[in-house]
Amino acid sequence: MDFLSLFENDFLGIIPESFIAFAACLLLVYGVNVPEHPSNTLVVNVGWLTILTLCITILLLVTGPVHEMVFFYNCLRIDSFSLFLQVIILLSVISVILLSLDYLVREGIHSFEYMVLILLSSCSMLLMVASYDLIGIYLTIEFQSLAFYVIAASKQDSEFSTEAGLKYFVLGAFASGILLFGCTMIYGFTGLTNLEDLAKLLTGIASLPVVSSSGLLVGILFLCVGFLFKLTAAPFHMWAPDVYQGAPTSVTAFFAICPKLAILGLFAKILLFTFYDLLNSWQAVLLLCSLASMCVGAFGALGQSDIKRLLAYSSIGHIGYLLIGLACGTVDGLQSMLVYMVIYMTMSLTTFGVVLSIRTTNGKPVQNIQDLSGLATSNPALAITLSLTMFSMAGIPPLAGFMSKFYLFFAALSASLYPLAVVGVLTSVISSFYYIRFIKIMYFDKSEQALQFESLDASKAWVISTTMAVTVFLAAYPAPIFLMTEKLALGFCI
Amino acid sequence: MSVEQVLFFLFSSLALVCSTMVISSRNPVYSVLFLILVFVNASGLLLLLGLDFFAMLFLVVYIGAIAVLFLFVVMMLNIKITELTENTLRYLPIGGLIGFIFIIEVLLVVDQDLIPNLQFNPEIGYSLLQTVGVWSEFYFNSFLSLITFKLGFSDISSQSAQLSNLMGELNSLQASYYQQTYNQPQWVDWGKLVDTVTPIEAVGQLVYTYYFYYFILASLILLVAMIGAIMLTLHKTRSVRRQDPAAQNAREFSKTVLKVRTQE
Repeated sequence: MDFLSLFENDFLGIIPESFIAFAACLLLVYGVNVPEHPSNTLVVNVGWLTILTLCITILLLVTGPVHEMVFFYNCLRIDSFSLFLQVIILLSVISVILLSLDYLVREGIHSFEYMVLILLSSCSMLLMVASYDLIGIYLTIEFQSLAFYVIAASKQDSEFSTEAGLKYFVLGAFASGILLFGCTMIYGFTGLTNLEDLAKLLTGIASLPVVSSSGLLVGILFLCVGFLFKLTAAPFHMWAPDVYQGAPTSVTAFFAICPKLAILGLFAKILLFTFYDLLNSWQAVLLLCSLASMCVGAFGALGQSDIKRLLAYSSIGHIGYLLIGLACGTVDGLQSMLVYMVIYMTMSLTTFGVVLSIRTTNGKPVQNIQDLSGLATSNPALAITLSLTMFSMAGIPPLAGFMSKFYLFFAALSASLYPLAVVGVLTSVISSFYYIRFIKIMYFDKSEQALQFESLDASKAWVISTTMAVTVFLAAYPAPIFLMTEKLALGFCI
Repeated sequence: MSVEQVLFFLFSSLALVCSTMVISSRNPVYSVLFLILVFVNASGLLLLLGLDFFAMLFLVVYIGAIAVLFLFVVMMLNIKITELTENTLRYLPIGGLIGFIFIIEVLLVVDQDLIPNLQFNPEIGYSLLQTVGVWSEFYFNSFLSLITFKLGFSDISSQSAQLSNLMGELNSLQASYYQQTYNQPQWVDWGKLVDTVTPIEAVGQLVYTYYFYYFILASLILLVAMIGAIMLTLHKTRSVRRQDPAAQNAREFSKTVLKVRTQE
């Protein structure tokens, strides 16, 4: 009975996650037993139920009985930071599902397990940002990756999709191995796996005259490499363009948005909370990776003609910008990183929404950028949306993308990371070349084949218009997001 | 050399030899067989550490499941041996680089004590007093030379040299203090306080109680693996002939085989 009283109140903290896990099991049973209707595809049906589940989870998170708690014998910790991340992760997952419903039906991806796996992977992401122990971190990352490998290969009749799944699996397993190796090194040299214990042990280690054990630093280096692999930061980005291109576009949208929020949040928590006292040693790693990602994102995308590959390179560049905020190691840096995360999420949702809804005349989804020519005449609303988003990604002033980049560079300057700020500005100038090329193709290129006007389905239209509104009008009223992120960033100082 | 040492060297050297054979043998089936031998040696090493349960687990999981799966896949793929031999040197530069990095890692780890970074509060008064003494001496001397109008560059430089000497001594004192603390730490001998339990008992006592969260998480991972395997392999198209168990069970066995007489 001792153990029962030990965990007496702990289950209050994990209500949302356990709800998702139970709902996933229920949906699995539902999907197997419900016969397929010709009028209503099962994947759409289960998709709407998944959206319902995720909405209820958001409600459970926000109105939950406990908001600050360390529970399950120091395995998990929920606080305002994890709550913020969990809510934006769930919002992005819901939006991605809404965007992909129509696409899945038209591309013939009928297996309802797709939705169940997305649900389970969002459960893993929620647990990931709440993890408080290296073992838990590794397990949740494996949980998430395993679901992703399967989703990437979900289009069974496409060789590209299978190849993407296999590639993702091999390189992801490699990254997980490196991450685990880093964890074991850290455990070997400190005897601890808990994040808080590690933070306590390392307090003031920088001021000690004894050289801190190099094994610990190597462990942290490996941990960072594992995380950067998962984030597709530059020297470890090789898999991203192939996987993004091969996977079905709805899956690409999911990969490009949701896991990055979760992993980056967890990475920030580990570096700024646990290993803050070793700032000097990991800052160099992040600095290099950030510089490299920005350059690869800018130069790699110049020669691409495939839309998904181009977006993959663009997301590598965005990861570079996000890492600037993390490399600062300051309150400003963290705050600007969180702001950038939210804005990156909205901009990518709009872009992928537009890409998912355009089809060539023969009904195939667009692949080449040149397929977009003439969009301005066939579907002017979509063309305007895409051009505004591209302007925002390039960082043109009144839009949200400008604000986020501005604050990041400002934070980098105040943390005296001048090279990052300078290279950041230069690469965003270079990258605006290929962002604006989209606009040139849509408005000024003559199309060989006239695109037909196709109205969007309601769910996609809602998501695109909402995220578009955020992108355009955030500059008018940015206070809520800045206040929220300021509070979260200050929470790390306590 | 004790028996344990002999066994350790036997197992570890065999493991090294076998793992080189895994990557150098031309026939992939031999590679898999050598891989099995590596796993056997590793489980022998685990036995030497007293982890009997993990040794068994290693054998069951890695050989019973993974290596046999590998063997199946390799045999089914029917890779020609000649295809594999041509590109052995192509990956040497990058592979050599990665190997070199890992060797450096191992060397970094080998010369380190695997002792936790003990946290302690050095007696601040001790070092502070010394520092204050050194600095005050320096200032007093320079002040003395100032009022006796003997201020010259040589004086200053000699003074500062003295100061740096003193600071060096102080640092070495401090270092030796830390050395002492590291070499003779006061610790609790937990080994005497803990009951001896077998590994399987220890794992059971932790995984099913304090750390049940990880256990449940692992079960969710297995659930995902199961869903994934079914989703990737089960094709629900009409072209695949499927079995209907209910219909099959409902058939009467006496009527399944019929004698048909053709009228000729």
